[in-house]
Amino acid sequence: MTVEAMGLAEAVEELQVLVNGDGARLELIEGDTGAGRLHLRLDLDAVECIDCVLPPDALADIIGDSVRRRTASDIEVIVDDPRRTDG
Amino acid sequence: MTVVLSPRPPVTVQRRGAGAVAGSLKGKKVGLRRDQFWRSWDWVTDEWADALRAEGATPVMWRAPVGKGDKQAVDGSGEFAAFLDSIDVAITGLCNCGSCTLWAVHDGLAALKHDIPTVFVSTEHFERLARTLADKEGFDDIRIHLLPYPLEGRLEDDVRQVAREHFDGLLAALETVR
Amino acid sequence: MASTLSADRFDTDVDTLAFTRFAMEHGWGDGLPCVAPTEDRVVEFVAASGLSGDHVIGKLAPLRADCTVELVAINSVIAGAPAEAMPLICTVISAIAEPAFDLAGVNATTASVTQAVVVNGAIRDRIDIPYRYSAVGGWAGPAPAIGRAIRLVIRNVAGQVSGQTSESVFGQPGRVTGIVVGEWEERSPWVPLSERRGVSGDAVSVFGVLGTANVLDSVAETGEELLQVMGRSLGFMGNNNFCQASQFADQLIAVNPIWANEVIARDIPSFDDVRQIVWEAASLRIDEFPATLHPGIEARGRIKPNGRVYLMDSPDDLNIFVCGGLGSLHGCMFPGMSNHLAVTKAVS
Repeated sequence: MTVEAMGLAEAVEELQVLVNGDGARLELIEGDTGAGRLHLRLDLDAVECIDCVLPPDALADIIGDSVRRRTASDIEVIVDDPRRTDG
Repeated sequence: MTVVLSPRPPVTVQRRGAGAVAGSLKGKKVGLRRDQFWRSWDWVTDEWADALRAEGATPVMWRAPVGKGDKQAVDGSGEFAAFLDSIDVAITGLCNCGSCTLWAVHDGLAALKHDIPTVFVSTEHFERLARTLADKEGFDDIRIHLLPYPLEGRLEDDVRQVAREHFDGLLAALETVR
Repeated sequence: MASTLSADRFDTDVDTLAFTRFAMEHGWGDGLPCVAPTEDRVVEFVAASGLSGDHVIGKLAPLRADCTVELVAINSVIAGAPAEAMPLICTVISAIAEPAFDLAGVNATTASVTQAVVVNGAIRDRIDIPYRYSAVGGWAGPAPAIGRAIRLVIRNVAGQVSGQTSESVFGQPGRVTGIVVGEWEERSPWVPLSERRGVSGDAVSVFGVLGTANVLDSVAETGEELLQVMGRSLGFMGNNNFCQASQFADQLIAVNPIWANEVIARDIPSFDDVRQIVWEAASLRIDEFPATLHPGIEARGRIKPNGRVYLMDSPDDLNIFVCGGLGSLHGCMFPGMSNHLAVTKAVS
């Protein structure tokens, strides 16, 4: 099933499991299957233990892997993670 | 329109289910994987170690060197490899936050890949994350034993009582024979 | 026959422009036009390999997926490589899957490393691998497409994606078409490169290189001078193997036939002596390095009693081959990737 077929919002909801246990949320900023890009933002406002959330690299890796497994394409996944200080 | 072939490997994640069952624990070494995070998990594993001895098993404690982040430290740990080599059954935990679930599952999957019957211990809140992480590696039906959430923040006596109450459930998850 | 292929199938327009667009949308392409890998074409390429399509050549990092002959064939079709190059391409893939090549590091690094393939043996002429004029790039022939096939395998099977699994800061043109060059064995005064590395006959030697750079000396009268110029050029301070974290690396240089025969071999008959001169020249005094680099270099025991730091552990790490046009004047160097070793294999 492609991300387009299942609906981007639905795909993102399935990914919430990665972070919502710690009180974080993934927000869909942009989903453009034509351009092969999914842009998410990690909302940490309700998180009490920042160190408890999946580390940035692991989170981005798992999200990218999950999305690409649902697609036949090399969709680019961007996660704006406020814990990253390198911009 | 014409058929063309993908230049990429087919996505064929091997489905590996839950891994082997533990059977009788008598005479076996049961590894308990601890972490750097949760005092409550130390108390639970203390209680379970005593209970395992009563079952005729030998508990073997191992504390992961990292609580979060440093995958190389885990992968490169000769101590972890020795731990896996020394045990017949694995109990890994505690899945109780994103980071600690990542590493508890990582280490549990390493045990499964060594064909060691393994149970993943998670608080209720983090079961889905644990299953998602395991499924990514092809283990689509891992044995999970759930503890109540929140566990951390309770009094020590309460946590130890929870551990004792959950021991039978733990053995059931491992499909042990008593 | 086509039904034995196991790759995922897609229905699409196979017109070159349309398919190239399709390939780019699916992340399969590299920006150049792509040939559609239809079943018939892939079957032909698998057959040309002499192996079965499901034969696993190796696991390629970082994805560590099985790289089958079928996947090599599909990527080779897309690249526009000739079917008769399949045995060579499969051998290169087998070489880079060897642990010594450290493909995981090569693919992930911030450096610009790519594969340079030196071809020896009669296969050079059978599939028109260039070894005369503009041998390293520019000769019209199949070498760029063969190199591109190797690079597409690394992109699509190994999973090297810039900005995701590859941190390469600049990359380089050789990351698109690779570097595929033959040795002009017939005009070399020395034993062929692959034979010196233990494999005679048709063979490939695969190096991880940071690029190519021309070395000019239009006035040298002696072999010693030419080798000094080559060695001192190769031993530039920014060579990856002078990095304080580096421990070892193969280095590769190409010498034109005129230099090789009429100057170097004339003056220095022994090949071991040739390598020794380049090895010694590829060194710097420790006080030439910025002070911040001294502790790391010292910690690795790389400062010799004479106060020099040598680019290579020993002359054995220097690989020299002969190719190029007869205009002389130039050599070519391929600075090597650190903590990585070249691999030589027979093409069967």
